[in-house]
Amino acid sequence: MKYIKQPYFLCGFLILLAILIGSFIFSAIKEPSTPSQILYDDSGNIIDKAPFKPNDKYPLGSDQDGNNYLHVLVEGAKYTLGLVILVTLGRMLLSVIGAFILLAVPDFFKKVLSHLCNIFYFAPLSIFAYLLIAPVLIVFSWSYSDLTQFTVTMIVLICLTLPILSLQIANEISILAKEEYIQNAHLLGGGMVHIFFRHILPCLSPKLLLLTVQQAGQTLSIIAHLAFLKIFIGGFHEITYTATGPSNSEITYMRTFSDSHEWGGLIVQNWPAYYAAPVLVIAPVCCFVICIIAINLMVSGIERADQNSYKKIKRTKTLIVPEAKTPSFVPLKDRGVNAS
Amino acid sequence: MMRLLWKLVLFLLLSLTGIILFTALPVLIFDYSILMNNTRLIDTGQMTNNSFLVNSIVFQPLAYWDQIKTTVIQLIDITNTTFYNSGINKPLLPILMEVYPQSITFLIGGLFLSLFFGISFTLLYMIFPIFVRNFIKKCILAIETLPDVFVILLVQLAVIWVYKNTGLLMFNIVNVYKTKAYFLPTLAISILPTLYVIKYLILTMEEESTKIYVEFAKGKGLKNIYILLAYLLKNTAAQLFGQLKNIFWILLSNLLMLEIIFNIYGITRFVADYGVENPHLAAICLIAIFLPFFVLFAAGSLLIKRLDPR
Repeated sequence: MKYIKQPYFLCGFLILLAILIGSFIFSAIKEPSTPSQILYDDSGNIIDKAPFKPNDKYPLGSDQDGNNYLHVLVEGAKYTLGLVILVTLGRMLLSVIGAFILLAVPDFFKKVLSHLCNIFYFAPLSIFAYLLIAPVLIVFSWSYSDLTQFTVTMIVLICLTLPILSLQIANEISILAKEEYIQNAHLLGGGMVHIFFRHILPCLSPKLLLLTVQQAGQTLSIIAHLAFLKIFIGGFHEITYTATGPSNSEITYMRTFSDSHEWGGLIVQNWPAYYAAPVLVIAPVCCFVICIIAINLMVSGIERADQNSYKKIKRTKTLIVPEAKTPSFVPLKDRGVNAS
Repeated sequence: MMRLLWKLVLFLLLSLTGIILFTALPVLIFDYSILMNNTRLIDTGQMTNNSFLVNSIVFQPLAYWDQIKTTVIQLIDITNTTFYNSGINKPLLPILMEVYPQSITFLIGGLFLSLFFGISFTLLYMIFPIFVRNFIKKCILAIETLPDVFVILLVQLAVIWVYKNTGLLMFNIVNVYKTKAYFLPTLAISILPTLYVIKYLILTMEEESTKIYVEFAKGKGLKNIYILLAYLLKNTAAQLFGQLKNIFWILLSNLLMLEIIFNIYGITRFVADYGVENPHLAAICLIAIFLPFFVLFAAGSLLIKRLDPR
């Protein structure tokens, strides 16, 4: 693993690992507490009503129920990252299979598919995801069970970039398949499966790793976008409130809450309160940003490591080749111009 | 020339087909006829309790085919197209004409702003000494990785912060009633595309400037700025044009976030609001977003072909 030694990669990887492990440890040792909606100071005076402003005890303030927002965010980290890992692994696995299918079908089909995939450039990816997810989660949410909602969301998130990804991997494989040693392996009687696992996969794996990390980053940003489009990915429940309005009339209003405190859900849940308490929206967005930066660090780490090893190969090669005289400094006679 | 035209027509047709095929997909997996019927009943108040309604995922190729046909018919007959909204069918065109020009102004404005800023900054960058350049390059590569949500939130917060501290409202921050915010939104969506343009141009220009003809021009005694403007910029322009699709894509995903965060009712929010209940509306809106890009793309490719027949 040359990548682990790369400082950029290591840095990004450690950040993500720390967030994930921290989240698990936190929910294991957390004591159940009943949040209060009103904050008192030492002498018992009321100083704030939920959502609290950031202070010593509540570094990021609190949500409308008086939960410490930092704890909520840490709790939600494992769901968000877990979702991202699940989606990314699903994408990679299916797209490798898809790449094989693409290699088997005629070239014409591949060309048409790649042209059709162009449409993903003409609207944000999250809009495409939204059009397929919103029927189960928002518009017709009354007729679908929780399980259906979750599976559809996952399948859409996984399948969304599948065509593009499969095309990319298929191209990589077909480039690799033209190499001499792979054609020789064919001649020597290697089967398709053998050649794939023995010869193609080792060359493909750095590329696949890079794609995986990039896909993880893309999934994160899609989840953040979908949150702004009011989609709860990690499940939601609705609570109807009744309040006394002006002249003692009863007002009922409904609010939706995220089940899992997943970051995207927190953004949706607190979006109505954005102008009153901006921290409630900005904090989850910042969490997304930290993760995306960590992932981008990993990407640049992989790229640098690959470049360095490429340079090393080049350097060793140039050492072997004896230095030739550059043509501009070779005397005309030696070049044989006058010889003719 | 003919080949290029043929290619462009193929590109247009395949993209339109792709959009229509994709936007009809929900009909393939969800039972739309029953769902829409129920929605209509709920919206018109004929049904109050919806907790007993249960539906599951289905697979209906026939309904899918019908939806494709409907979309095409609605697309051809666009003046009479209606869309379903809370119980009634409304005509599409007047509303589309309200939301569409605004979004397109942001998109095209953002595109030209980012190209302008990107190119002029790159020219400045190429004049700087090498150690300043390395520093700037690192900064740009770092900022470029920030997600669009964050950048746009940051712009809005920055303006609010300036307003709070100095009492100076530089621009309208959100659309409230009839005062429309124009400049700040365009600026906000062009930040990330600008960085992309700069990053791309810097890399290609630095690669281009190691080529022999540049060395020769230097040897002839031409000034650096002249070489930059007359050779490097011209030779990287075509490559930058090849990136138009990516720039447009970044702009679009910024536009979506912008419309939500700045409370602008534009085309992407229109699609999100009604596109699910009316798949044909989603198709029409996506095509409406695609067309200006296609016009730009086609004009650019024809121009490049004209100037450089190779």
